[in-house]
Amino acid sequence: MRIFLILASIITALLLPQNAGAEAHFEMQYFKTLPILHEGREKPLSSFADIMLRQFSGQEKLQNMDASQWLTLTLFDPQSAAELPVFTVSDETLITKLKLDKTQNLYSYAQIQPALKAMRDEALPLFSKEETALTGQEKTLLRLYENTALFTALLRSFTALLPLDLSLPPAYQDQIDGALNFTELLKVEKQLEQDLTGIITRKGRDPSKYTPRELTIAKASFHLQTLRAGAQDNELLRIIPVQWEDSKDQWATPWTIMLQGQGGPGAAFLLSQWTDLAGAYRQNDARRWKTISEDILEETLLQSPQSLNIKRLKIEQLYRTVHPYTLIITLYGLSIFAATFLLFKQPTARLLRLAPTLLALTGIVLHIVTLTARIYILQRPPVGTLYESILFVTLICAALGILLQRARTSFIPLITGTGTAAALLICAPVFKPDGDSLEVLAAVLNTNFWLTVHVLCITAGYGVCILAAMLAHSGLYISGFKHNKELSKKLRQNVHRTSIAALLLTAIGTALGGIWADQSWGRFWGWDPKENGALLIVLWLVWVQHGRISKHLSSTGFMAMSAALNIIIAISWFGVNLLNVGLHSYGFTSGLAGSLIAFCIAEIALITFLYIAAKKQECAA
Amino acid sequence: MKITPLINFAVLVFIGCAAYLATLYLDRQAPDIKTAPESVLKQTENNQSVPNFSFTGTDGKTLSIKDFQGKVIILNFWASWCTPCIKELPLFLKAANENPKDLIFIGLSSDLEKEKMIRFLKKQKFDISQKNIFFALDSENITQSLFQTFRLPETILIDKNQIMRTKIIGANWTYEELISKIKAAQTLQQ
Amino acid sequence: MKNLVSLLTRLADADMVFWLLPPLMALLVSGTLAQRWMGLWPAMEMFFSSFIIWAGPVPLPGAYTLLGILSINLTLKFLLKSRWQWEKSGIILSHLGAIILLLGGLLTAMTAREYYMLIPEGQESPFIYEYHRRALNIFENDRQIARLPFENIENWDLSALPFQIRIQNSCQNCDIQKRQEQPGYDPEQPWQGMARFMVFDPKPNEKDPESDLSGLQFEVTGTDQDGIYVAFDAMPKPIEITKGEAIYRLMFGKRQSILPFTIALTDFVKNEYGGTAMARSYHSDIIIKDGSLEWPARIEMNKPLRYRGYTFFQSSFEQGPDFEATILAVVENKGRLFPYIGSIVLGLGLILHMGLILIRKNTRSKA
Repeated sequence: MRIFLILASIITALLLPQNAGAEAHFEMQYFKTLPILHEGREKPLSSFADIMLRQFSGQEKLQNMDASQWLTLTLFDPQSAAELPVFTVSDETLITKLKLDKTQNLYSYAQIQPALKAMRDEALPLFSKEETALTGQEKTLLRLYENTALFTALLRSFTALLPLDLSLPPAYQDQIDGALNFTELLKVEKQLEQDLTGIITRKGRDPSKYTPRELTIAKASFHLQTLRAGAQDNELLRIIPVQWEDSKDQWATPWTIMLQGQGGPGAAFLLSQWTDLAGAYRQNDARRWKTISEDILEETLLQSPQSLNIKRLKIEQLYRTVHPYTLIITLYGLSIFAATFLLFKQPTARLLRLAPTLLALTGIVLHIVTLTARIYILQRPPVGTLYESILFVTLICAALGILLQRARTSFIPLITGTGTAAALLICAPVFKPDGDSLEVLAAVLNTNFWLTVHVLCITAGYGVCILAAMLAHSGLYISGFKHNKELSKKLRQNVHRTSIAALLLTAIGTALGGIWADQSWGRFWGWDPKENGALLIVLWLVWVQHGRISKHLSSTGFMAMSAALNIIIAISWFGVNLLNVGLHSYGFTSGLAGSLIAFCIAEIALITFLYIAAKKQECAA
Repeated sequence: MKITPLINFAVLVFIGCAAYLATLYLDRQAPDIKTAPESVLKQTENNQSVPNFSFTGTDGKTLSIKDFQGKVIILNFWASWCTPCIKELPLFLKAANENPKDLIFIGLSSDLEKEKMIRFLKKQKFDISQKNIFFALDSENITQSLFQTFRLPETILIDKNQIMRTKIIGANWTYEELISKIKAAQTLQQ
Repeated sequence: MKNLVSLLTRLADADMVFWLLPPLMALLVSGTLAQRWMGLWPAMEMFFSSFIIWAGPVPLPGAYTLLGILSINLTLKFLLKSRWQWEKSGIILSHLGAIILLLGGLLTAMTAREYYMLIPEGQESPFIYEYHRRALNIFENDRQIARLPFENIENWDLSALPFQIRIQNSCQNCDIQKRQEQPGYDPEQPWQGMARFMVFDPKPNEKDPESDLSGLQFEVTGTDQDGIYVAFDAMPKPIEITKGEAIYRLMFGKRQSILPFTIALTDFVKNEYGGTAMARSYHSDIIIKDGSLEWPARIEMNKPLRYRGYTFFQSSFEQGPDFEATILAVVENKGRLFPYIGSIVLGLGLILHMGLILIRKNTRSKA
């Protein structure tokens, strides 16, 4: 863990302060599309900005700036950015400990950094402690240190290119082209060194003895050293493509280019363009900003690896701005609303009667499009994490709901399908990983045929199971409270068939999982929690079927046990991920055990209640 | 005796035998001759041409790098005050002396004065008489501004088509490694 | 005879499944929870690799018992009651698939063996090592003359050795203490080698036997360097003892076996995700040397090498400042085809069953 918080403030002080002036409105579209390599994947700068801002502040916007505008401020005017409140501290006692102002919502870097520095000795042992041994407050503190280090790296990304608050003797000035920045200063580094050695030999190290000229030389030399030291460990802003095939990575930060020999003529040109862009920003020149950012985009794409595609970047941008899932949830919700409405009033217009189906269909099409976009952006199948599997399962639920729908009968399958989908989608953001929801996966999970088919099959199976369970709930309700024999029977048939389909998918999916495991690490079945979970679902389905066939379960009992499938799915899908043991611990975990148990208890209560009601009707018949 | 059990028993036995025989077959000593994949010639995707620049050699003649199209060029950034540069120079010169027809060596020095550079070369007693060896002063500081080289030494290998193929950072390499890199630069790009 | 037939018929009843599955499901849930709290290995042994689970004084059925009864039930049902009719074909096939999976699983549990191999780049090896069992290997002038299994240390037959070994103590998982600091330390005793400094005290076993540090202390007589020695897991150098012209080496470690062929690692390659240390993929380029045959192959994640009954998986790797070594997982499993056959039959059966239901539904609704 790096705790070099000390230097940053000095560095920003070295830079020329920004001219305060009316902020021009900058055209951001090109800047936002610029590619950056972050967390193992090439993404547009707007995504990076969103992730960073959310990580520091928990928000998507800051004052009146969106994330990308905030990013430009941080990169091109680090001094102002250091004063802008951007860090959130969630723990009240921590705020007191750090001696921060309680009335503020967010804190600036300039406030946080000295507070953290003062706490350094106390915080040092926390870094080597096990994560499970930390208290909530300690975790928040550590995260604050991490975020501050990250922010420091961000502030320093372009310090090589930004103008310095420094004057040079005329002899040096002649060799400088344009504004004085670190890069220009390097040209005279050797000279400065020689001159400074001479000065020290003559006058010693005490600056008070120096002439003004000697003082400027000493200052310049000091600036050089400090700025260069600040470039340590700064691997954050990887925006320059590296042309050398021997190098480890295909993208590097400006500092890496300069100090680790990754540069070349292409990089030199790009960096000069970025310097110009910084200039345009600082001089509030909106027109120059637009032209240069467009040029940088063009040049970067020209130099980048062939696998990069501007379309992919643009689609990712679209994905993030549009918030597709809110739309999808709304469409499903409207469909349910329309269907419920139609239960009471039957309008004559054919179109209105078709409204629920059409709305649901639109939602499903949008859902499919969104999943396809994810596949395109990530270049892999969309079921690698728990969050992603939720997105897929909900699609299956909704689609199956439509499939089971016959226009003339009631809308129950439709409502069940879209309702479940909407409910799960609303809960889904809880399972989103902290940083980027478009995550890159570990080696063993990448591009494998058996794995892909297995996960798709099992997740589809989950979807069908949930739908069967929800239909069973509806069936019990209808039997117990609505006394509609025909509808009950229809629903019972639906549940039966859906269960068989669920059994098909889950059994084959489990077998495929075994085949994948055998292909990848040599054993078909290892009693791994996730395997056990999948098997549990299969066994439950089998048990319910055998109960029905052997008449040990009455038809109401069959419905009740099918409804209980929900609990089994919850345990097997979410519960196993929470256990976090064994080969399958690549899912996201959090403190959701309580909600899971609460859900199970609620479901047991509900099913028991519905069962009793339905049983009464059955006996009365 | 019903016939079903017999048929079904036969089915089970059949499956068992089939599996056993298949396993025996798969376990025989027979190599699966699939040659290990050839090391794929790395798709040199973005190779850029070296930007043209001129330099004045120790003999006073001004040349540009484009004049050397058709030969492999070692473009070396060095300076007399850079110790590792001095360590690696003899190896470059050896390579150049052994390949006078195909190889060109250009040593671009970041020294501040030409005389300093010439005096240094004389003192080192490097054999620089060959026609394919050039030493020049980088008077316009293209080392930094054009090539983004801020730490010396760095060397760029340029192929016959004036494409920059590899960059060697620092002086920590052997003569054999240099020769193999030069050979790699001589192969045509895919 | 009649009683036997009626017993078998009863055992083939369909409702046995109805009664067997709930305890099996309970076993799954409790076993999985136990894995979290007891550790993977002990929980597996207790719940899934046993006939009986003791909940205090109460015996409960373990996985072997439940699955065993289930297998008998399914097999008997298949043999005695499964008449092939179109409507039932899907169900029968599915059950057959399940039987194959279960019986195949039984075969695997009884015969499969897992090992690992570690090969540094540029070297070759025919040795495979077990994960859990250790052995004391004794070599005479580089020829192996004894391999003594550690788990059977009480029954070691040492009479054939050209010198005498008497075991003083041993521990499955040991705590290393300083010899000189032990109460009652007698410097006059003939401590040799590491025994001069190290004492092994037993301590509770690790959750995973692979992590145990096993060791033993023994007295050697009849050689040129008689004395008391210690041997333990991952000891840096073998014990060397001479007797006249012969040199004896004693090595203690994970039990090794020899493959009927050799694997040479020519190159190990690791690709990382740009900007992170996460491995994107890695693979080993090897050469297999089997008698006079030699040919190259590549082992990578999810693409194992299968040869002569052994399957080699790219499991992991070791990297040091100046060396790289690949770690391969090796599996020997005679029953490895059964899961595939069983899965296919099961899948076909279920699809067939589903198809038949849909056809029946359509014909019925048309009627």
